[in-house]
Amino acid sequence: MKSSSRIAVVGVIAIILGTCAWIWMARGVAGSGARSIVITAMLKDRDLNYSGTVVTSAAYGGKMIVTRANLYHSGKRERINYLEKSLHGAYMIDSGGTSYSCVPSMKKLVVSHGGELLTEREHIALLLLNYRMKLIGNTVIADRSAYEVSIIPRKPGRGSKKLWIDRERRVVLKSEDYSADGRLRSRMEFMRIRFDQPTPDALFAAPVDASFSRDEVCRRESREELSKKLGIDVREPGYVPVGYKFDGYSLYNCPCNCGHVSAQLAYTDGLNSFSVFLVPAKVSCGMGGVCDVKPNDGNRCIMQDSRMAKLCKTRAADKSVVVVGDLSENEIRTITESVR
Amino acid sequence: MKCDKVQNLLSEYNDGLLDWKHAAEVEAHIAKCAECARELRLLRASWSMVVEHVQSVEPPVGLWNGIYNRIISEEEHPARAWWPGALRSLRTAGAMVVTVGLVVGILYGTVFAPQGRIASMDPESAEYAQGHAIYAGQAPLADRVSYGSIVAASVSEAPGGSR
Repeated sequence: MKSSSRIAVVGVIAIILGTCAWIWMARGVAGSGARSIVITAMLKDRDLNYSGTVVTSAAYGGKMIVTRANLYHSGKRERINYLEKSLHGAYMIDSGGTSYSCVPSMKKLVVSHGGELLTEREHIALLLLNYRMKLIGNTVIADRSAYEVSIIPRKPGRGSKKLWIDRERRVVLKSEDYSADGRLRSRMEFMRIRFDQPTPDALFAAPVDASFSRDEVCRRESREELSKKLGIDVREPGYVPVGYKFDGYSLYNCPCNCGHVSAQLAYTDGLNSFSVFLVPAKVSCGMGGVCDVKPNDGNRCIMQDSRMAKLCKTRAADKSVVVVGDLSENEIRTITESVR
Repeated sequence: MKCDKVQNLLSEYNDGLLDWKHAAEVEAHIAKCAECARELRLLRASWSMVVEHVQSVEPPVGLWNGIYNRIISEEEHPARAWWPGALRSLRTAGAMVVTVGLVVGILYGTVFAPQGRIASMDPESAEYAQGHAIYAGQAPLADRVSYGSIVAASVSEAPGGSR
């Protein structure tokens, strides 16, 4: 081969390699840029004060719940006033790890004492382990310049998310959640947002009205305490999908108004989550629901799907098992049937 | 993008049917144009009323793709002989039958069917879903407003009385 031909071949190879390297670096920069945008948004939210009007839609119980809401955020506290008529003036307050859902016109208050086991850092580590992030572009949401970022699962069978994050303040201005099978699960978007407005402390105060019915639905407990209180062997399922991590035990009030309580075991992969409810089966409440699930042939579970989450229930030894989460039908079934 | 074009796309935009490029163009326009923003608000308000009063019924998976593909294939292969005309008549008749079927199906699903048929979870299971929503809504990247609306809807629909 002539030296000129050799130079030409080497030149072509160098151009191809250079182009590949450039594309690889550009993708890497876009990925790391998206990662830092999302992580900053996660970490900065607790330091920001903002309020605004949000439009939201969520698929639930065979229908779409569409509502506008006024949102007030002050550091770690948040209040959401729902404006949709069908929600009867409901509002939600999240303050100091306790959340209050209140429907004043119906005199109802639901209290949940949360507090996750996993730290914020562990959530971030799980998110990075299980998802990759892609910067899609820039756009304008609620008169604010925003990055559009996709959060894509590294493994199939998990929900994904799109976020529109304020370029300057790193607040999530819009988000879209997609279920494991790619259907839109929920959407939230600010129509207008204002920063650093004074928000009175009274906005975030726990609702106090003796005439309200008060349901304490959720409280952190240890495994031993739960086993003792419920009289069942509270233990983790034998199968947990790869990438999910245990996020704590809670006592959850049986929703059938018959006084039953259950153990709630929570799991997260940094973005998506599922809950395992263990309900003592020794007393039947006669409502024909979860408490009355009978051991059936082969303990195959009963599957229900509300698009926001799938629910699978079965009976295992001394308890009924209910698993709720957005996972593939096979996985949720395997988790449910692995509880002993 | 001009106002008339944006207003033609608002319905598709609101339903999330636009690709991201067109959606971004519509969003950018709405951010600057008060008139189009007002149109979108009106559309959403009307949609909200529809959603409030009519239970949603999901069409079969692939229905829209099927219709779209048929429209495209007709556009790409214009009729040249006598028989495509006859075939088109048959298609029209078929489309009419499908349309009538859909209307009857939607009427049956929204007006005549009992509520339990539409709701995909029994009320008790829905409250376990509520318990999960309370937990899921606390995650750092969770859409708290949507999860909160689910909890609020569940509380509003639940029978009264303290536990």
